[in-house]
Amino acid sequence: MSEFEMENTDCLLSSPVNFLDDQNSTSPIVISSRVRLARNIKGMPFPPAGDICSASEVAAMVKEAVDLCKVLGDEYWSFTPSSLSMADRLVLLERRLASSELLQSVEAHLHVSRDSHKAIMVNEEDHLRLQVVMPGLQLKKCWEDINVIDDALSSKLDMAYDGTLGYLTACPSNVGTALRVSAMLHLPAMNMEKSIVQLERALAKLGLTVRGISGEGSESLGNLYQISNQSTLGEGETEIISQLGRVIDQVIEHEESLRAKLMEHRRNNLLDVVGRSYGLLRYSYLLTSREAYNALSMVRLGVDLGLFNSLDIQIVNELFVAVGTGHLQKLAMRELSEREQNAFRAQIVRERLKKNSPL
Amino acid sequence: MLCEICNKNEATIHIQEIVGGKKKSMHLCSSCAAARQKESGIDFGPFHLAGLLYKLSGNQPAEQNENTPENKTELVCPQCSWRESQLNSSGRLGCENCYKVFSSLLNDALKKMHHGSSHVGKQPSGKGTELGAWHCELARLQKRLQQAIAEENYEEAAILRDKVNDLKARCEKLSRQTESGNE
Repeated sequence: MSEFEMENTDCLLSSPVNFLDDQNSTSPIVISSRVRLARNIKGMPFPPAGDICSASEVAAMVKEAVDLCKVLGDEYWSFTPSSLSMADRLVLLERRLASSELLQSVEAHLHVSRDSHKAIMVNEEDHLRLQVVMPGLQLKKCWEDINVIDDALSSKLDMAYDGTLGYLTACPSNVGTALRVSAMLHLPAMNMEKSIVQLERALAKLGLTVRGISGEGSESLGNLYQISNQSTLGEGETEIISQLGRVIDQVIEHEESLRAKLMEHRRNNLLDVVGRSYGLLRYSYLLTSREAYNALSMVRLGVDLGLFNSLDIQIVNELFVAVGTGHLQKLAMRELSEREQNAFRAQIVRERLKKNSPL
Repeated sequence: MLCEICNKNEATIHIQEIVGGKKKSMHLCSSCAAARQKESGIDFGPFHLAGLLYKLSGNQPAEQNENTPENKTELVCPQCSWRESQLNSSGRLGCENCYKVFSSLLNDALKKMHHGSSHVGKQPSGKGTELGAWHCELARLQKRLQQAIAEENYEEAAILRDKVNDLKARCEKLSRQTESGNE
């Protein structure tokens, strides 16, 4: 027996968030890389047209294949989102292991490797959504890993495929390679200089999109942006990955040059905003998630620019996840009202920073 | 093309509205499309946008359907019973066979969504390998052909055109053989 059906997400909370745990990152601007493949099993209705019977048949077929191929290692965790509490579901979302669509599906399942790098969503929009997430810029490594999982599962499951259209998916926007490659970037300087709209425009011409994480439209919380490919038909997987990689390199370069300019020409403004943000996190008693993410972003920028003597980037990374509504409620071991969340968020941030005061 | 409302962002969404029986076509960026959605009270959520694309590529104008519901014919997938109206409202398909059933609605939408019209890339191991490889080659040749035409290199374009036609015929032949083999 290699699979553990989990009744909650406590197993995840006891381990660090691996996609944020990048000690050897070459650039602090890229937080994480993610590759997703959509697959459907030949002969079965896609989830939008399926019923409970077909969905549970798909779930059983996938589980058998995952067990036989050991694609998630000898032991892995399984979650059934419909039987989890709201806080547990939010934890899966905040740890980027599940999509919000998966959490709303009745017959959905999620299998996660013990290191949380690999996940398989079952009965989301497609029968299978394979996902590999890595810290920093590691798109090629993500692709290599997901390709191995895909090959192994394809040896046990006959996937819906067409010679002209490639892998067939429930939404035609994914057809072809059915590959969605993305990187999460921290772009505070570009946001301060109002360059995100320009970036959006430039990327649209290349068939790429940039969107804020947890924000609406191009707005973002914590200056975190996800850049991903839009087109999946007409280009091979390696072509998609290398194009996105080249674009991300340019975005990093642009963000770095803007940071350098800010340091040179508007040093006091920068020090002021970083210092105020640190003060907000260190001394607040009520902290909304928006305030927390935006202040953490500025403190992270300060750490990147060497403005703090001893504040570890890892603490800032940890807090980015810990201030999420799901994580807060799991830590409090009960449901919290919005006001309670704000108070508890402020408390854990204060305490974490007090222990590691850089001053 | 720039968004027709803000004139700043790249237009990534094509919207068709019918006001007083007259069709109005607009190219918008995502934020202006979302703002318009709020104004009009029409749901242009991410999947409904896909639905709009299909409607645009369909042969029947929307107002004709509204005015003459009794004459309305709807495509239905015999395999999964997915209906054209479900495709339009959700932007999703019900099964692999839907791609054949709704191909007339999908072709234009796919062109708008993607950089190419043929799959180039990975194939399931051991399945349809030969045909898949030919399609990859076809897509490469078509790309080169477009490039040659753009560069006004008509001599090379003529050679490439012949190669494309030849390969297309071979693909169709093999595809027919595979289908009859499966039956």
